[in-house]
Amino acid sequence: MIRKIFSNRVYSLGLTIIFMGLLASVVFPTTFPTFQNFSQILLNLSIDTIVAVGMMLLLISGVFDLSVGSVVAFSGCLTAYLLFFLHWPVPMALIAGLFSSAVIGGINGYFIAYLGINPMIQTLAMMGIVRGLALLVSGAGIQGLPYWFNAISQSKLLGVQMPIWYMLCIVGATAYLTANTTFLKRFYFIGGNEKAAELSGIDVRRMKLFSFVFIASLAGFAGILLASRLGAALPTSGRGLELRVITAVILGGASLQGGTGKIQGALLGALFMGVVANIMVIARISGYWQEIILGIILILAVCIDKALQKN
Amino acid sequence: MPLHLTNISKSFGAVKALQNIDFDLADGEIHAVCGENGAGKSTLMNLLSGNLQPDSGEIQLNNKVVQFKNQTHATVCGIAIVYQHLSLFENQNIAENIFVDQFPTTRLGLIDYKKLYSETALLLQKLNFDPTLRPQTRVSELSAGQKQLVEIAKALSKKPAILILDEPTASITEDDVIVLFNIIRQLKATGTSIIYISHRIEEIFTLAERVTVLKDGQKVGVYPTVNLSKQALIALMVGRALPSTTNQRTKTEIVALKVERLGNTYIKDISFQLFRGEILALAGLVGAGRTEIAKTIFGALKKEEGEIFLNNTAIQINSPADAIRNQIAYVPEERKTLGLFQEMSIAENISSIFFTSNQPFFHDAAKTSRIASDYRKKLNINSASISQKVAQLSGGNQQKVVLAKWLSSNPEVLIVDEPTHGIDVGAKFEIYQLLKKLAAEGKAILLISSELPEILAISDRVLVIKNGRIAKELTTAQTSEEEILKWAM
Repeated sequence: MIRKIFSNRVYSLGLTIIFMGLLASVVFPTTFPTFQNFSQILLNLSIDTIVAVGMMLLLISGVFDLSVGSVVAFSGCLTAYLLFFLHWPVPMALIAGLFSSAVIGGINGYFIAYLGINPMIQTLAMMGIVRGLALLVSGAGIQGLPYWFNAISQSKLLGVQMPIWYMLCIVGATAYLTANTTFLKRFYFIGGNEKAAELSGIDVRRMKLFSFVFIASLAGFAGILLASRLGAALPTSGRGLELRVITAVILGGASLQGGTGKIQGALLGALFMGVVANIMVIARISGYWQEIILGIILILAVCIDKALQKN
Repeated sequence: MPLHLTNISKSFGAVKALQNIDFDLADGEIHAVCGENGAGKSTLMNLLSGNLQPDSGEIQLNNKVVQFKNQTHATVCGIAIVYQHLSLFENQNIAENIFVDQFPTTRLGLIDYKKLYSETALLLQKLNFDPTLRPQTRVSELSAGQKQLVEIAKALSKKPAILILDEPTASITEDDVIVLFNIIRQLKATGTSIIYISHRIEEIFTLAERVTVLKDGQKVGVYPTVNLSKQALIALMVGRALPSTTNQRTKTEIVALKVERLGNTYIKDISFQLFRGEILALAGLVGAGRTEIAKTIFGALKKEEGEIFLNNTAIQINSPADAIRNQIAYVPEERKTLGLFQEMSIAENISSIFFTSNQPFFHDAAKTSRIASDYRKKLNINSASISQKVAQLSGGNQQKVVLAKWLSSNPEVLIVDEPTHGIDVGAKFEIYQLLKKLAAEGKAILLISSELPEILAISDRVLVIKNGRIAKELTTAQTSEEEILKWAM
């Protein structure tokens, strides 16, 4: 029983987070367990988590995407450019931002799935290209965005900021659909044995193309949320996001070989990192230590996995 | 350096690959080893080259008992092997390939390129290698025959007393074969002993003085080639023991599958009919094009010419998904790499057939697990439960999982590629029974097998494939292993 809990990352990580939370509540009873603090933690990780959902799906099928951080910046900048300089209406600008992100994902997916380019090289190159596009579009950044655009992220529902709701909806819907639809569940077979999946009648290339379009669209949405939350689009936003997201997803139970992981794990991995960071801020530990400790935790998590598999 | 093997045995799990083999090789002798696919030739060579260790028995080299720890050790002792599958580094040049594990070095420990290239040139000269090709030529630019010569040069660079050649002519042209034979004779003249493995009977008679025949992992005997005929040698190779099955023919006259002039890079002009209730076997040597025929019908290989008819209607198959939609199933060879999702459960493996694009949007997990438990019982899949990982199952049970998966797609045409490869006798028997039962239920079965006794035991007709073409159609009841082999070789 205990063994089963520990070999299921969703349970083991969930329990670890609860345990950490309880411990922090005892040590910092006035600062940690407050509604204010919790919603701050969730708000801070909402952008990363939305992208992590797509990254989890990619890693289940055995690939990853390094260009997502740049897409976050680009979609925010493009949307802001259309709003501020061309005075497009908000819905049109949003659609344009999302659509152009999807196109970037489509290019990635086409080159990887149909032309056989290595995903790491393709998305590494795209990471640079898209970052450059973001700089071209926005220069040093665009400020003073319209009220209705800022309301997307800055309004609240039931006292909780909107990005948290978006995140929960995306995680919930994708988790449900991935577990229950023949379409999304295919990624487990592709990650488990690509050749066998192909022979089982799964159109592996089309699925790969879809997954890159999907993650780029999520990254585009996350970029719009970020710009709306700040009321400004910065071409430097989303720097390092891709590696943070991959870390969260691996902590959440994915492996680079593919075939394993649950969408919920993406949220839990990000939540774990968020809680660790939050506790360290409250405990006034230097930010430098955060990176060191997160790195150590990642190595430990993977080692524990290996040990469990051996038994 | 004389070599003696006494009482060598080797098993893989329940499969006895070699049993009590005696073998001896004299100085400067060319000794051929032959047998059908799976007779134990490769295992024997792997034991001699140090890649495998015998379970029991003794290897004597130069009248001293030796135990090869690994291939390097065997090389040091004077045995070098040239593999059937070329194992060169395409991205490196000829010299680097030959000296990969023994680069000459300068006093500073750096690679001595001058010496590397001059020694390679010397070796190539010895092999009468095409003088336009230099030691610096990339291996990727060479022909298959030239690559084979590089492999031999690599083996010779270790100055072996015994050279093992495993199917050296399998992938090279006639001209290259002549060059190769001259080199082999030259080596023999300089005192090198050679063990020569080949499917091509003529070559054995041209080159070897003696031939050892293996069958089912056992030694049939060793014979001088001078007083042996080709027919006699084939007769020695065939006739392996097999669990017997009841022979009830259920073939009908209704055509289920018809292919006409199917062709692509691998196969040419393939036309045949497959009837309901029939088991049609594709026989032939490994690499003759049998799997390629199956994969082309199934849409896993591109069809360039020809047409496929199902129940007398022409169908378009461009991908495995198309084939599945038309109720054609293909149980691939190499179940581990092509058939199974190793880290997934029995239920998930069986359900993997329900993810094509014409399936309903929501996956019915309850239905598929019901199907999985049904088949677990029906096919007698020996396991703890349907949620057990397939990686933990035996080969025979894994094969049953793959069969169950494809049967649950309810196919009319079932293509099975080497369904009993590497599984124990009991499971083999169960799979024969299952295939016959399916034929009796009216399914059309295309069986690809390298085991002739298997083909004779369960098929109705045999198509012998050679070099990508149908060499001969035979009726199982009126043929023999000898006849099939004659057409296949």
